[in-house]
Amino acid sequence: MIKTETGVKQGIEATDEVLIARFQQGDNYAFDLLVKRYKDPLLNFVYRFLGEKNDAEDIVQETFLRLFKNKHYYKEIAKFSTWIYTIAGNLAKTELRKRKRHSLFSISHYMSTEKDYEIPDESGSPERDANSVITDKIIQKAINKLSPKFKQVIVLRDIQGFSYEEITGIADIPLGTVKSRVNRARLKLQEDLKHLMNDV
Amino acid sequence: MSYCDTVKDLLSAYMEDVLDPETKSKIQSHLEGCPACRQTYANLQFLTQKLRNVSPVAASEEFDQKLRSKIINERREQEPVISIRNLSYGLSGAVALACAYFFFMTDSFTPANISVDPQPPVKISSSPSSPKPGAISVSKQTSLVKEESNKLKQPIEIDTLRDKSTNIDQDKIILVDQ
Repeated sequence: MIKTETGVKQGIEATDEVLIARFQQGDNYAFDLLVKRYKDPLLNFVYRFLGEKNDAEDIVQETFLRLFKNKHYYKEIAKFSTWIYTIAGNLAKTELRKRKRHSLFSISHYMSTEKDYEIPDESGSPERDANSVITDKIIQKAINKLSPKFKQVIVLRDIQGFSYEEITGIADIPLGTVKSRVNRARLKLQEDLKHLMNDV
Repeated sequence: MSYCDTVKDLLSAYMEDVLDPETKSKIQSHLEGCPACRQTYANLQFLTQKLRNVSPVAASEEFDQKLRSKIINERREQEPVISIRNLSYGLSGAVALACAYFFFMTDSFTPANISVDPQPPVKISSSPSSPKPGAISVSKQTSLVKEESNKLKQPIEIDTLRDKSTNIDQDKIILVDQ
């Protein structure tokens, strides 16, 4: 549980919006707490989006750097999580476009090689068996094949657990489009992962 | 578009139980009679469960330190540069302006109707000419010069203050776990 300095004493967990307000007023400790609260969720989001952990870390760092520089741009009309995920998502999309432009999108993305993916760090979950690791890799490979617009919504909805309404805010698309894209992304994935499902 | 395609479009909504009762009932009937759509539906359920349980990745141990370094660099880039040369130019200009001001206020350019100091002018021994009636006294002149000089210094002070106000205490950016 993350608490502010005052909150720790009072046993109250500060909301994101309280923390960003405090940070806007010059309390850098609130920034620390926001980083601690969001670095792993954002990293997972961007990692699933890009399929590469080092690049994902760079993107998340850039996201926090922008938060630090542009803290006053945040207005409390939106949830802080929506705002920070929007920044991270836009940076991730830009990174994907950059890769495409610079032809870094190698043919290996379409082949079955293990070099394409970084194996998630499993040190924190020793009980996981080899099958789960393989399943994760296969799933990530299928996600990598999706176009960015499908990737974004499926990661936010099914991996990160956001509501459709929240995704609307992050992706800046209408609710109907979000629902339609999530469904289509799921259908594409299940088509690609049929063999996995039949094996299990 | 076949009815199967229509059903597929609604499978996520069916799975999340957000359809109206009538549509839900139609989908249910179709799934009972269509093995292909039933398989697709089973795959979707399996897939969403797997996606919910993918292994999370954690930030590296260097994450906080790297971020801290980037923030410090960012702050350095934003800091206004007040070099000794800039400062000396500013002070030279201030002195020159002060001298000019002093010269004009003590010479014939002084308007006759200015009566700032009601007290009799103080004689200055070093001055070859006697003070004119209505001229500003040396003490007043000195204070005016100081005032002007302060005005000239003001931008530099504002910069310094702005610098202080935005200067982040880097020791406070602990970025937990360091």
